[in-house]
Amino acid sequence: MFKEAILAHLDALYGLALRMTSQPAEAEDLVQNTYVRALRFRDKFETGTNLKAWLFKMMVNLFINRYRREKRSRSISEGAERHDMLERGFARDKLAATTAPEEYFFEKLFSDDVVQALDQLPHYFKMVILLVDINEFSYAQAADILEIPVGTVMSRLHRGRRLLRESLYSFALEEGYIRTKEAGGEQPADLERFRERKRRLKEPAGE
Amino acid sequence: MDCREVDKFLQVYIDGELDEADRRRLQEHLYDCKSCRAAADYERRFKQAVKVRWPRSAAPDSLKERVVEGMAQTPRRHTMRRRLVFSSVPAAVALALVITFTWTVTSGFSPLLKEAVLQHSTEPPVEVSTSDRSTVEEWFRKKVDFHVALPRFGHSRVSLVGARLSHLAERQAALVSYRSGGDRFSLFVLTDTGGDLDGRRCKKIESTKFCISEQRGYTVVLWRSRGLMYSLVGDSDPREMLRVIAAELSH
Repeated sequence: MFKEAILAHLDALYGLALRMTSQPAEAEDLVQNTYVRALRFRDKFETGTNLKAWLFKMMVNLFINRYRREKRSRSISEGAERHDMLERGFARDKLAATTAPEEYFFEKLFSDDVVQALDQLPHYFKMVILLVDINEFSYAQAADILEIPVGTVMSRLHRGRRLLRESLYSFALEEGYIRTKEAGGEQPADLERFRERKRRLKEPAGE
Repeated sequence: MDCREVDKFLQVYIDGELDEADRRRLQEHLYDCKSCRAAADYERRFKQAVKVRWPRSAAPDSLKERVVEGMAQTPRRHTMRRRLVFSSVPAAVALALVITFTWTVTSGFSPLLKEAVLQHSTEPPVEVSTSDRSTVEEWFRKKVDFHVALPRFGHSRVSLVGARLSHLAERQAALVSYRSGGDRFSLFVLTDTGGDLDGRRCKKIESTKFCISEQRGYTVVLWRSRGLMYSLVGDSDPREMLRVIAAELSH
């Protein structure tokens, strides 16, 4: 049944909607509109093609249209500014200079760190990572969903992952999960420190 | 492949998106180069670390309820259109059409029609046996690459027998069998690739044009709707065929 088949992707759609909108209520509306639309256009779905990709594409389009309509490019423009900032501070070998490749600092991180770092990436880097790394779409599927060439998916993914890694690295240093070589040694992840940081982050509520 | 190239394509390699030849060249380099091997390991573990740490966000139950409820109230687009086209044909108009319509039966059938008639005459067994329209539509969902939307012959004598997968002129087709009294009908549904129906006797009812052809004593009624081409093949003579269709579709 078509309805059951599309319902099977509810969690995945909601997960992406949450990262695109950053607001649970908006994410829910976006997902619901996606389902209404999917059902209305079910005869446009080509049997044998990927249903999840079809739904994702529909939702991404709805999201983009809504932004166009509302002219509320909040996170997109902020993303672009942040992107410049990140790009300036990031050189290809910076990571290699500060840490030996065998130092898998990212394995010391917590879920929230990864989500937060990804949220701060420019929208177009964030989207390819969400589609390919988190939702396991192929380059071709991601290209179709975002309506961009496969080569663009590839380059955004390449730069996006490096930006993400760089940002996580700074984070890990800042929080003392790791130390630079000069500072000597490294520290194991500290749950108390993590909780403390989370409390701090939650303080300026209503921003 | 040198280290610079490997660096450029390492992520593509890890994502399993390199083509066979490049993949082999890259692997050969990795075999010989310790630092690129370490870099590959690093990339792989990073990707894995992000994926593993990514929280599974389950949709709230309230959203699921809203979605299910919303879907129950959403009409399907093609169904709405179909009702609009077919149900708005008054019976009187349809009857008048049958009475005043005089055929000139044309020759020069396309291979598609010949095949349709041939298949109808051999009475191929159905693969799914049901009298329910939506069961047939659903059955085809996984079998053909288009959505098979069937006309609603629900009102009177014409009853659905079943369906099977078929091919017409090397194209996928849905073959649906109907019965009406002692008469047998085969409806072929396939994607509409265009082409002119002119040259045959046609009559437009509302926005749908019905065209008639005859071959080897069989009658074929052709029409198009929403990107699909329908050919109904029957044993009856053209007048009777159209009488059946007009009467059925007018309800």
